[in-house]
Amino acid sequence: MESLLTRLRKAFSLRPLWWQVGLIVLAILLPLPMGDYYRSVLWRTGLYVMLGLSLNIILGYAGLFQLGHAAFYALGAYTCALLNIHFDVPILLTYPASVIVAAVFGYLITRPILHLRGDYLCIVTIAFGEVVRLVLVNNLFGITGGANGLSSIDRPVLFGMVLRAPIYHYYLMLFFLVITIFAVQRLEHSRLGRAWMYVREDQVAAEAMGIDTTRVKLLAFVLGSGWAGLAGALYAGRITVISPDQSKFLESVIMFCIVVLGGTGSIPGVFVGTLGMVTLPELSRPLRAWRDAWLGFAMVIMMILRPEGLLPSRRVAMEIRAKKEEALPAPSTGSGRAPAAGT
Amino acid sequence: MQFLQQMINGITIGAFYSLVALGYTMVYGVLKLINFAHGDLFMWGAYVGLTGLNVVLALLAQTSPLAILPAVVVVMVTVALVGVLVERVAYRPLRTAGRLAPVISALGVAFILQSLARNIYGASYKTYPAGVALTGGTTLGGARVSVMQIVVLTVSFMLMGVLYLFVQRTRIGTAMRAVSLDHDTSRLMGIDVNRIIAIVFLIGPGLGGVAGMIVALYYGSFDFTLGWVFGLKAFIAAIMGGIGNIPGAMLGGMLLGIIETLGSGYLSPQWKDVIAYMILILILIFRPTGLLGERVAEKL
Amino acid sequence: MALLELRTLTKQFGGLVAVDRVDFELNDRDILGLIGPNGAGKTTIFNMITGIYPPTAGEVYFRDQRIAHEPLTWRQRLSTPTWWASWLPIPSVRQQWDGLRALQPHEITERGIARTFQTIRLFNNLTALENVMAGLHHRTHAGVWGALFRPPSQQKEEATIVAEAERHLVFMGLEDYRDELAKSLPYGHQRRLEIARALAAEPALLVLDEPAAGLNEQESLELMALIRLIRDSGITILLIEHDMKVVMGICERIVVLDYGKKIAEGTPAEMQRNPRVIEAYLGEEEV
Repeated sequence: MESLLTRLRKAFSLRPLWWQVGLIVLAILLPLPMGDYYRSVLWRTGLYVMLGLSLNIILGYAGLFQLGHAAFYALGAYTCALLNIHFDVPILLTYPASVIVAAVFGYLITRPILHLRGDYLCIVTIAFGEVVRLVLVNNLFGITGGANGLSSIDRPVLFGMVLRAPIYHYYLMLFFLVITIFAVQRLEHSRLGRAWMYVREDQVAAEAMGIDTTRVKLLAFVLGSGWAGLAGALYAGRITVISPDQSKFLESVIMFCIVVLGGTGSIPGVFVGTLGMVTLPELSRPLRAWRDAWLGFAMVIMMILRPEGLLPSRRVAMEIRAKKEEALPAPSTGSGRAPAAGT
Repeated sequence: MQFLQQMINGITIGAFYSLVALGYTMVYGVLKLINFAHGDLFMWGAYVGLTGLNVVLALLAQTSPLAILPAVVVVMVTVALVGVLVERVAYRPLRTAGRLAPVISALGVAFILQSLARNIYGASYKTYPAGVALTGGTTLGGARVSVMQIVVLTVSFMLMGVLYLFVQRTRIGTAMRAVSLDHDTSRLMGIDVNRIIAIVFLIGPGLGGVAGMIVALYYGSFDFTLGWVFGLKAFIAAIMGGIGNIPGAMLGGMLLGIIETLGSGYLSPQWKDVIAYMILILILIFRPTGLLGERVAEKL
Repeated sequence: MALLELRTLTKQFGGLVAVDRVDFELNDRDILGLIGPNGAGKTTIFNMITGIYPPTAGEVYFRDQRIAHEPLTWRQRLSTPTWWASWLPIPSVRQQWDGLRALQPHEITERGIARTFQTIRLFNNLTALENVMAGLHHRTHAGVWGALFRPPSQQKEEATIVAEAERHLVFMGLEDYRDELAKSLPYGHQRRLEIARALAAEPALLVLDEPAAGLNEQESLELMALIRLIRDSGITILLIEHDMKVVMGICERIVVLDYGKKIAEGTPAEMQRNPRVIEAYLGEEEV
């Protein structure tokens, strides 16, 4: 089992470019033999992978417990819908606006709560998520359509062609997904990406090393929120009906679990997490009633048996291997563990 | 006299919040864990109460408010046992696993409990059998006080008083306070930490379960989402009072109940949840230690 | 000119006065030891110098600029015109406000003070190299744009960061551990890695909190040699240490604290004869 995983990982690291090209080709061919239903499932998987990747910036890289991520997903969808309905902006042109609106809200909401840590941040983000949902339900300024949301949103139009069939939406999603993965990978291996990891590992030490933690954390929130906004806009263009349910706590939890169960900070992990959290329950319709129980069960079992996630990031994997091999001299104390924050 | 009426209603709701908040605060005290499953244990209290009442009524073959008493005992015992089970299965293996893992596990348990309730009892609203809830009431300075409110308040204050004395005066209570300060030192002083944590998980969910049943009686109907909204509010109450602080949870619950009722009475009912959440956010931003909490400098 | 100057620095935690009107100065290229029994307030002083928390009273000057002082109360802020204007992008106002507000730890690091911690605080799940690269963060600039598009300037900067970090690893004798996770390093090496990380920030003043704690005799000797070497490269050193061999071996001056108060200051030899110091340490380890 372990050797297989290691071998797989080695294969991945051999020629990453070829693997990536191969995977993209596979992703293009995959829906061709499928019916519309399975194409929709694929699209939905892509959507949640994107949401997972956006949350991964915040939760996986910077280690910030964001449990209200769905709010930004909803904000993106509402921006797209409102611009389209009231100002007749073509769907594809609303995408940048959705990203910007979600990112701006990400800035405004998280700026005052950046100093909070761990559980406290968790709770505040839950509260903000609920506030956003309630504001949408209560129909603030009379434009959000209340609990029913907004409907009759246009379909995206590309080169004069209306994108209606699921397969077009799948390819649209794939296009943005490839960009997302490319960008997220580059962010991870950059000065900024390292700064996020320093903050995640030990905020006090990071600050003492000259890292402006406030700025770095804000950037994580703004980028992650903006990306979630894009996912929201893609959703609005595909489903054409949106409602405040998109910012439900359940949605935020699903995104959170995608990141944590797949392995925080790992891009393949997000795929695996999405398969478990979204695709599988989607495919097993008879079990739908028990989906929440399945989610909960998976969460508990995973935390007990494999808390680092199914496909952990390189670093966590290295750490596990180092522990197993015991070739290295063990540290003489259980030192260096930061005291848990909190009261 | 509308103000007085609002206050009375607010205090009643506040008493519910206090009872549930106690569970959050006690668990946070000993485990430093936000027990997201607590709200759903509370919700299970309402369902177990429903089943218990039906069984008792069937046995009695007549309808009487006295059926509540055995049902309350059933609820308390059942929910407390479920609480201990949850701790044993989902939290204890994770005690040394850092901060993220137990939070996820707690969320997982919440989902399981909610899904079970929905699948067993159905997604529709449930009502308690007629004739069980106390009716009638009296007027007090122009405000109406129902018998139900009087009972709710008496029971809540009694439970809270007993709990307070228990924690402050008994050996187990002292051990609890010691465990909440430091597990290792407590263990060195001869305290069985696992047992104390188990006791906390008996008391917290036990109280929460009773609160669930009283809430169901008071409002008349409920569904499986009861735990989430109420749980979050109660958690806000616990934070308001200073999490980990037992009198704080009582005070926080009362304050939240009053603020919410006044807010929905004088502003608008549909914004009352937003008001509660905004309070939470403001408290966490400006005074994360709550009203009764002390500021503690983090040791480096 | 003193590089670092503490003026009646005081810190109160609730009713406890952890640091009580402490003054001392540190000149360029000094090695000054801060000693005292447990709970004397040594680490508290470090935390105030490095901006982790503000003093209750008193000031810290670094290169004749005030870096720590009592924070302004809300009333003081409201009556300060500079506070009202502080959000404006006017350099002179900004500068004035920087002189009034409490500096963040990272800003103090930017000004040239780097530190290590008493309980080692490495980035455990990152490699030794990545740990040291953290020190270079504040002297480099690439942001989101650089990360996404990797322009030549960013690539050059990344190469410099790696090269510099490697240089510091070699200096501390850790080059063999370049790609090991920080947590898997032996304890003594972890201490050295922390110093390497601090050095990478190119400080003028290096603040070491018990660098020899947990080290064996041999490692302590090596550490002393390294500290001297660091000083000779032009960096001033302030250290807290309990190991008297280390303190007496490398410090040129010593400040002794007891119950938050400075009770003596002078050369190691003077301190060994000072009756107040001996009294403070009575019952503690032998001086």
